[in-house]
Amino acid sequence: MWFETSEFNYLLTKVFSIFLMGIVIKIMDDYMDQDIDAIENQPNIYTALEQGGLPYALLLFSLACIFDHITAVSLFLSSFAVGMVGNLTAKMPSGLYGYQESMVIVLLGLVIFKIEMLSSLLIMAAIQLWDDLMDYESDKIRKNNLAFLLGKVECLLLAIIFFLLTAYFDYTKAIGSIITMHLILYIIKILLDNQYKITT
Amino acid sequence: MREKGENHMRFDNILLIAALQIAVFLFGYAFGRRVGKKEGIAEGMSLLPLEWRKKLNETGICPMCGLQLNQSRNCDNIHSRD
Repeated sequence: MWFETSEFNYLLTKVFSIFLMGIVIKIMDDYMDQDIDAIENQPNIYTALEQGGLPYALLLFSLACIFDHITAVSLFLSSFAVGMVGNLTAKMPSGLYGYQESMVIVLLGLVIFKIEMLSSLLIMAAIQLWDDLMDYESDKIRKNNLAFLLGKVECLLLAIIFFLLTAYFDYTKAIGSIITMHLILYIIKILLDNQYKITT
Repeated sequence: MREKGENHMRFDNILLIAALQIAVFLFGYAFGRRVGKKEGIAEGMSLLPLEWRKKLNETGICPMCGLQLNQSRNCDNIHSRD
C-alpha cells in the first residue's frame, strides 16, 4: 500500500515535525511580543499558557525531534537567527549584538545541516516577510516591520522568491511549512477566542 | 539523499528560473520606485512655490500663515510711486 512506503513515512514524519516546530516557534514569538500584544490587546498564546509556556514548548520541541531531528533543529536555529536579525543593534544576554548572534547561529547550522539549514532559513525568512505583510495595517507600534522598511510589494516578492527557493531545495518543507503556519494560526485563534469568551 | 527523477529535475529547474525572473523584476521595481520617489519629491518641491503663489493670487489668503491680505487699500504703495 502507498502509505506503507518509506517515502510516505518520510513525508509524514517531516510534516509532523514541522507542525510541532511551528507551535514551538509561535510560543517563542509570542513570548518575545507579549508586552506589545498586551498594549494592543492582541491574543497571545504565551500569556494564555501562563506558567506552562516554557515546559510545553520544550515538550513539543522534544516530540518534533523524535519525528525528524534534523528538520526540527534546523527550523529552530533558523527561526532564532531570523528573529535576532530584527534586533540588529540590541545587545543580547550573550554579550553579542543581534546580528552577530544570527551570524554565529547561521554558520553553525550551515556547517552541521548544510542544505537542510539553508532551506529552513529561506522558509523562515519567507514566513517572516509574509507575516510582516499581513501585519502591515495593525503593526503601527513596531517600526521594525519589514513591510514598512522595504515596501509592501518588495516584501511580497521577496517572500515568493524565498518560498520558491525553499521548494527548489525541499518541497515538503516549503509546502508543509506554509500549510502548518496557517493551520496553527487558525487553531490558536479559535482556542484563544474561546478562552477570551469564557473569561469575559 | 534521495535520487531525483527526470520530471523532478525539470520541475526544480522551472522553480529556479521562476525565482530568478521574480528577482530580476524585484530589482527593477525596487530601484525604479526609489529613484521615482526622489524625482517626485524634487519635482514637488520645485512646483510648490508656484502653486502657493497661484493660490495667493486667487484667494488673497497666504497659504502658509492663513493671513488675509488687505485688499481695500494699497499698503506697500507699490503702484503709486510717482
